[in-house]
Amino acid sequence: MEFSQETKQKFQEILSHYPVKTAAVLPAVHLAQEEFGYVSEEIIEYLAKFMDMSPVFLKNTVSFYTMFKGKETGKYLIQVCHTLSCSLMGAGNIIDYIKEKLNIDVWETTPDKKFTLVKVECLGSCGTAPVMQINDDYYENLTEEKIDEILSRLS
Amino acid sequence: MKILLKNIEEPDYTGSIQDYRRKGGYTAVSKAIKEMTPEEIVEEVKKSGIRGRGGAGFPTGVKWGFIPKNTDKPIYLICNADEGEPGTFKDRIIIERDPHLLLEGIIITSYAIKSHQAYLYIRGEFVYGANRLNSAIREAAEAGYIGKDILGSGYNLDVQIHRGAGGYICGEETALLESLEGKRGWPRIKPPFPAAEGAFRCPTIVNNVETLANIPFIINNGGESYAEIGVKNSTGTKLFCLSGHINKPGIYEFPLGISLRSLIYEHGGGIKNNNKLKGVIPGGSSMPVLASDEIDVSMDFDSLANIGSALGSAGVIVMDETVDMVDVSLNVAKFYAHESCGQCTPCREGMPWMRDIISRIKDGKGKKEDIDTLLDITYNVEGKTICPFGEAGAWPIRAFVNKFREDFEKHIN
Amino acid sequence: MSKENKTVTINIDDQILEVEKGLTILRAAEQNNIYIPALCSHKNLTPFGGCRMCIVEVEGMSGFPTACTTPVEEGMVIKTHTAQVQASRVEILQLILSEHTSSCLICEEKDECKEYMGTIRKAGVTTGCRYCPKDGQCELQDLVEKLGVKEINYPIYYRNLRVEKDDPFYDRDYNLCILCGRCIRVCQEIRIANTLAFKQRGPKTVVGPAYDRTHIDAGCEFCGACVSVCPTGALSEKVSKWEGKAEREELTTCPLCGVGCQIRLLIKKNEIIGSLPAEDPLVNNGQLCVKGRFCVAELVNNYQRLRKPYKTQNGTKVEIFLEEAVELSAEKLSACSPEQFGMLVSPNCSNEDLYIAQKFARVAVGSHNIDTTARTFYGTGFNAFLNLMRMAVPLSDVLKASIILCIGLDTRFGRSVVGVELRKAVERGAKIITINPRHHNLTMIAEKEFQPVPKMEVNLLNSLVMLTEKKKTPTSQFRSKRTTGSLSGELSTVAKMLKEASAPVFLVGSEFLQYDESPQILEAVEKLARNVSAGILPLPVQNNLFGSVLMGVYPEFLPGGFSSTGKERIDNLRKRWSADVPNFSSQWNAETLSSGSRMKVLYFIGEVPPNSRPPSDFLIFQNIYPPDISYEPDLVIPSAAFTEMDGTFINGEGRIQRVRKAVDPPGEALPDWEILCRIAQKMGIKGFDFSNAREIYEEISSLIKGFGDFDNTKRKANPMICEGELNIPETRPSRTKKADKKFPFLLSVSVGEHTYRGFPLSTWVEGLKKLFTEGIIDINPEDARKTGISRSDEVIVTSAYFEKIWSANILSEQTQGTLHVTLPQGESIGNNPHPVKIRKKDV
Repeated sequence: MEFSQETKQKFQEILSHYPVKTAAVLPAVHLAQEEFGYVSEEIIEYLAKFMDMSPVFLKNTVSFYTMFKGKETGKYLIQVCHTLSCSLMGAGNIIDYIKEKLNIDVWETTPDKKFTLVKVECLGSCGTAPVMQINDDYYENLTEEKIDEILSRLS
Repeated sequence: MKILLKNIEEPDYTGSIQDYRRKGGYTAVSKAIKEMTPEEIVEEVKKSGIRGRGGAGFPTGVKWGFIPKNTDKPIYLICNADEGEPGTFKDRIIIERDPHLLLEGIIITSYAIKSHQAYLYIRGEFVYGANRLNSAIREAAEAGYIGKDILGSGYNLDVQIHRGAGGYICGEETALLESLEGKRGWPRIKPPFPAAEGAFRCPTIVNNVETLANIPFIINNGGESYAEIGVKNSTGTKLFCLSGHINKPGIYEFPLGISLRSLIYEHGGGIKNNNKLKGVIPGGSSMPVLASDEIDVSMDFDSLANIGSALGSAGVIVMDETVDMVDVSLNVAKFYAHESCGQCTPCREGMPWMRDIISRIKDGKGKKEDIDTLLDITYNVEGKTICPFGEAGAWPIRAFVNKFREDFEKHIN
Repeated sequence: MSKENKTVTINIDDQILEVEKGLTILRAAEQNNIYIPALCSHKNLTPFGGCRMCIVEVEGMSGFPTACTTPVEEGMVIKTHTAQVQASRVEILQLILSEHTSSCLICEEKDECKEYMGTIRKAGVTTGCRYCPKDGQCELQDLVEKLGVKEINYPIYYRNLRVEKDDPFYDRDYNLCILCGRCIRVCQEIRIANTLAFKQRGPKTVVGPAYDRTHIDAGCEFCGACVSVCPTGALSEKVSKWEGKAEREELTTCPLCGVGCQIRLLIKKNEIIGSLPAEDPLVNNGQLCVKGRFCVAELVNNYQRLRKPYKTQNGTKVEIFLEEAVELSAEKLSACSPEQFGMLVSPNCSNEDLYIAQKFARVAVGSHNIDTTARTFYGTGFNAFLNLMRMAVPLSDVLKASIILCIGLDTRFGRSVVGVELRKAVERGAKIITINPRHHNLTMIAEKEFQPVPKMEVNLLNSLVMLTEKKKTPTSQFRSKRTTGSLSGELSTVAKMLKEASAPVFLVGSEFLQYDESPQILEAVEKLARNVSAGILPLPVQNNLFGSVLMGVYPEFLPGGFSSTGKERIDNLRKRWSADVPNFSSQWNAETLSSGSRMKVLYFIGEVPPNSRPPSDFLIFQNIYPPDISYEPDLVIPSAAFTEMDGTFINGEGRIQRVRKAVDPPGEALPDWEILCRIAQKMGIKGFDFSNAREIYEEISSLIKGFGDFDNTKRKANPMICEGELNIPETRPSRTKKADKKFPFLLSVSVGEHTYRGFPLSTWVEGLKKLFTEGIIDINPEDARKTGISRSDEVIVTSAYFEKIWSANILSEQTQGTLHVTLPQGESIGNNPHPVKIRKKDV
């Protein structure tokens, strides 16, 4: 387990913008998640050594943030917003529809490891509710048809 | 009168630096850096009367003035792009569609507060926005607006994007600072305030995206002409976010002082399915709900405060007659229980209890006293927490209960 | 000082107070005896503002500021107990209680109940105060009383977290945790240890190390600081869990290493129930290590403590009265010639014990045959170690040093208070350089680390010596020949750092002490220190090693550290003691114990020399615990432990520190000096009529400079003065070979150093068995892979001279081609390091 040379360079570049090393914690964990897909105990240990900091400090920071995944998820992480505006506009139905379609419950992954479904709080796209984010991309004004189309496009 | 959406509403505006300059962008930077002293800029912004657009509405120029004079520490500017208040999606549109407008505001502000390092803290989910900003920063650097010796003035500025990682509380300015420093997003005890001791224990100004995007206009046109827009104590234009049961949801820019009724019925196209309006939250989910007979209010800081609500982030969430306010308040309570940082007792313990009691009421297992217990908790949390999150969770619940008590009682009887 | 600069005038509850500027409202109120309730606040920790119990009203401020975080300002008007503030506190406390197993707190029958619930305590899970170890000492309980909370408007929610009992010394029940964060702050701010942190967020927030690791795995030092500051029963000490509140305390000195921490013994009836750090700013400054914090009570309370003397008659143990034991000893000793007598006395004993022991040997028996096992512990390096002690600087010099070189030092368990000082030093910008062939806990804070392979330590140190010579050395041949390019660069950097440093300090731990080359290593350290004008602080393992030299419990040393070969010194002593003292003529010492000629009487005071009974006609064994069965002692006499006697110790810095009697010794046990005095008197010898430690101290003080008054000892940190040297064979005949094809690994050995009066502490203190592991062989992962050995495998270790079986530990920090094992004191493998081969034991 080690960062690629490219990531190491990226990290060094990031570091140059901060007066202290700890400030690069969030960027570094983002880099780790991009490279390894998630941030397991082993990865945190590596990162702590890499950044010369205590693993406890790093873990305590990481565990605070919802975007950092402690374990592997499906190739596509479907994050459906269920906060007020989306909820008013039918996020509940959207979640039910995806559950049924993929035959998984919330927080579960399909057996082919392709999709993981989670509920998230406000994605800041309330004017186009209901909304979901799959990996990095937003999908807005969701309807059942749209979901069919989006999921079929993802391979 | 459009300041913020002026470019965006142009049909083929791409947000590139060429487009932005074509529309007269980056003239304010030249003017500010070449013709004005930092003190003059602060003065101009004070004159404009602009108040922070993040939710608290603190006068921006006054805030800048809190930076200690003659400090030998570095000064930081932080652009708060951790847009997370439910019902709010205004900053995202600026970031994604007119990033240079924001950058120009950041450059001028940095110059005004004598900062050489600006951080743009953007919520982690806005991956597209972060990428968009990064390429805009590159464009601006190539054009000489960011980096060393900006426009030959000898002034240096680095702008760095810092992505959050999921946590509503990080929008609170001191939690944001902790998060920026690589720690848990736990709000700090104040004083000291960030202007005295902020990022890395140095003087720091934290401004919202929308606030900063107004700065180029103020520099180009003068603080006084900005102050002429809007109403007393609420100058300038504002981005209003319409969502929920409304025919034309979206972002609208109007001078402050527009009536909520006209926003909903005239510009927003009225309630979906021609239903009746039941309630509307005027400023993001942490602000108290207004009943349908309260919408003739002027959308400005003072008027909304006068009727016991607040402008907040101007996230207007419209709810029609089909809505059960118990469901709505449960949704809101769940949000605040989930997002509580856990640092201080009233919030950590109070938010889950509100959630649990509303949930119990919803399930038909509520007791009569529960409604009053709920109100009690809101008072016990309010004003007793380290940061304003306490109020953000308590105020809406209290308003739901007080204004729609019959909805709650229906579940109990 | 003008008032404007130093103080402000404030009004708290209509009292006009002038208080120090910069204080928080809470501290200002406390200093003026105004009570403001608080749970998360702690006097030694930064304000947290989490519990919100200390909210007050301040004129002109909106809402309810917390007293613990709000600084006082001139003219501030504060109300601490308005009806609204009180009501809010009650409400907030209810919120805290709603997540605490608090049923007892608000039970209407709690008072009646207490009277009838005398037992039922040792519950697995705390369900109410009666079942909680903190019952009666809990700050939450106290606050509920004070605020008069009678009911909770919320249902009680039990978090149902697993009670964590896997670690030694303390249990953790986070169902009782109120998330005040004191434990985390003490761990981070005071100990700078970063073992604990908040995890998760919001209502799910919990305290603990990263992941669900045990504290052992998380690098915890088990200093117990977290347990001490916990306001509730969430953290509780295993041993004293059900002891309740102490009735009184006694200040004394910890005898478990040479740092000399000041400790407060907690006493209930006539029993020590625990120990806490004292605030002594000179030594441990409110900190302790695992030994001082958690081991004292267990060490002195073990049920196996000796209570009555016994003699062995025809192979059976016969219990006798102390008087008979004294008579029997006197009889045997009166008939013993000086050459046929030998006495070993523990460097854990007080100065008073040691002084009387040597006076006893020299006057009552007329022999210089007195020694300690420190001689075998330090081996050939003993003189070199004493030389370092002659240069000792105070530990407080670490605070001023810009560079601290740590040689063979590990501070995780033993000497963790030194570790705290090192971490503080780093925080204020000092640099730490380590030289240690093994992995150690200073890695995290070290600026430069050297991990020489065995047998290269001397080269490495000598290179530094040469590089720091004031005069330029003409040749660097040595360096280029023996060290690799990058290492040589690193050494030059470090040499430069040392030369340019202001007031560098060297700390010497115990890693090298048993190596064959320890004299050369220690000599090189000394030279290096002289070259760069560094202060040296050797950290002796034996708490009163300094005292043992100064009291003269060695054949070569008289009281005052004077050489026993000096004729006028002997004459002087004769005069002072008005007794005959023999001229020096001793070939005997602890090294020759088993190999020397058969002795008539051997007398072991607090010493349990390794192996079995040395050749002797009569063996007197005087200690707090019984000897191993293989000793077959003829007479066993019970001693008092350090908690049961008055006296003094001298720590590694040379400070005289008081030992104070806290409880009575068990049964007929007495302080060692008192037993010896009784025997001497029975023998009809004069000069032993002391009735307390003070009188002995006064005699010591009259003989040795700088001792001063018993109640106000004058001796501050001061290097050791001793003339002469121990009689140690210059070099041992070395059989050490380099690793070769047949024996490809170099095995280095350290000796278990955590002992008290000859016994490993782990014999009597259960929890230490998990921390101080002996007989575990550290193997580099690559070597393990090659030899097919995995963790916990039994490993057969063979050399040309021995074959041993130890359990394997795979450790990436162990240098490839080397092995390490820690052995109990006395167990030896001959040359150290030693070429060996290893293989997995077939199952």
